[in-house]
Amino acid sequence: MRRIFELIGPPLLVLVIILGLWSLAVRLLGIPAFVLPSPEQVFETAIIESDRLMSGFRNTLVASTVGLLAATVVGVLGAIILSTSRVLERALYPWAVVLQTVPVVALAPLFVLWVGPGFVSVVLVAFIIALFPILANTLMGLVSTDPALIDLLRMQGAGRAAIFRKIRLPNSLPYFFTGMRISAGLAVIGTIVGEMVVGRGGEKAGLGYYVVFSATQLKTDFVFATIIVSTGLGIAFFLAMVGLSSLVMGRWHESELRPST
Amino acid sequence: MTANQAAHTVDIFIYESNVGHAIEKVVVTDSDIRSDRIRVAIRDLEKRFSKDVVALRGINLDVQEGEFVSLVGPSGCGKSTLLKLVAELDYPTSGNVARPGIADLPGSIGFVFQDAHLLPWRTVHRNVELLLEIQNLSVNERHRRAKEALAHVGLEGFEDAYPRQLSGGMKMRVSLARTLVLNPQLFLLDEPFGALDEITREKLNDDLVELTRSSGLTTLFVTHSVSEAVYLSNRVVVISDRPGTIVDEISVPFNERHRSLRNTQEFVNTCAVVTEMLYRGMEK
Repeated sequence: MRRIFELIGPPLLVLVIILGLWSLAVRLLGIPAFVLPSPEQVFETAIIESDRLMSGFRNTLVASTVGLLAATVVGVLGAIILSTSRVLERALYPWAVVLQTVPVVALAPLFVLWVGPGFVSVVLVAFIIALFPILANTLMGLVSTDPALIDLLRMQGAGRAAIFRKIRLPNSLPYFFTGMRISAGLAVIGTIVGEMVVGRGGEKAGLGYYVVFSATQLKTDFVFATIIVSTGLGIAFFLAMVGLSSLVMGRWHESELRPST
Repeated sequence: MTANQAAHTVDIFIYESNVGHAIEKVVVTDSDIRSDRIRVAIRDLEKRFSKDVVALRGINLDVQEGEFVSLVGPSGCGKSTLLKLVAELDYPTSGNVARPGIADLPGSIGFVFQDAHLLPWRTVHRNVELLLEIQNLSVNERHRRAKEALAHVGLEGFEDAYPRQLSGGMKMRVSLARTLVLNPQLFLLDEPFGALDEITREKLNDDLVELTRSSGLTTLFVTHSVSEAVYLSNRVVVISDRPGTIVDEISVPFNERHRSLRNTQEFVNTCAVVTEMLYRGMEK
């Protein structure tokens, strides 16, 4: 109990101080609510709008999950294919880099044109943005194996398949999870960007839609509430990946070792 | 063995097991020094990495069955390359390496690298099983042999530990067990103890003597430590600076190996002879 407090106490204190200063500043300086609402106002709006926030949270969660899963499947399979051949890697990897550097916000309207202003467009944006970290990291893990181990297995007559199964694949796990941690957050961001561009309201609306919708109506308190919920979703995604990685590698990988204090 | 054969003994090493409950003798007699006991035959071997970089030149070397031969030389002299050529991990530019009497089967050659090279995601036990899995042995057989090999290197009770929980010396023991579990006919070690502290190294030297002598394992051991080579081997082969050639070799005159051997005048003298050869190889 004491350890938990020591862990979350300091950042919690910082939060309380910031909220206090924020509230104080709004009152003392007389800042209008449409510019900067006080934290109490944001909280109040969050309660009033809890239905819309919840359904937005749910829709964004689903789209982010689907986008991340698609990126995981395509990223891992892509990495495996690229790792089997230097020629393929040289031919395709630069294009994966190019794909990464294209601004996704600029792609989103294209997706809307091609597949319509719906769920698929939103997922596509999340997918594109989450793909590269998984692909690049997994590929790195698959190819950066200990050459001595490969020699050792070859000497015993092991083929490519056995070396892949026993060395390359498990070796790539820590790299894969590094990619997943980055991509988990990106998938949420991608989804929200997608929702902003797609602009689909109603019960299918995600958090991104509510940001745009409430900002144009100068409901700044609602914007803040939406941003806070979005951030919570991103953190939840990140923590889920941390949990998954510690579940899979907890017993052997350095990154999962806890300090012994 | 008859008394007559014993009289013709050219090199006897009697080893007393350090656990103390068995005395095992492995005796190499002069009748053994025949061509049909040669297990490694290297002839006119040359290895070039490029036009200008010659790693090894004019290497001729025979290793007898049950013999422990060390290759000593300055770093970069090509001794590790020579070991890789024997293991067929690399191929000579000219000349050849033959391994008469060593089955051309997986598992007949055991190779131990400079570092332990364990799989961090596997337990000690599963690390030792790794190479057996390639051989399609049954789960029970794998399990039995891995357990036996771990007992052999003194790691009972550490089966379920992960490599990160082990000291450097223990990791090296796992690495040795992973290779010994194959029951190799030829044992190749490439500076396996180079990264260990001196006490651990000496302890592992004693263990290696036990492991190889008790099973009569033909062993080729690469090191840059003169005293380690003299302590472990029946024969020390000195390799010159690049391009690596054989400077000279010396048969080690001791019968027994124990800690105090390192302090004897004879041991010190033998080391001095080897060191002298090393200097000759560097000045050529």
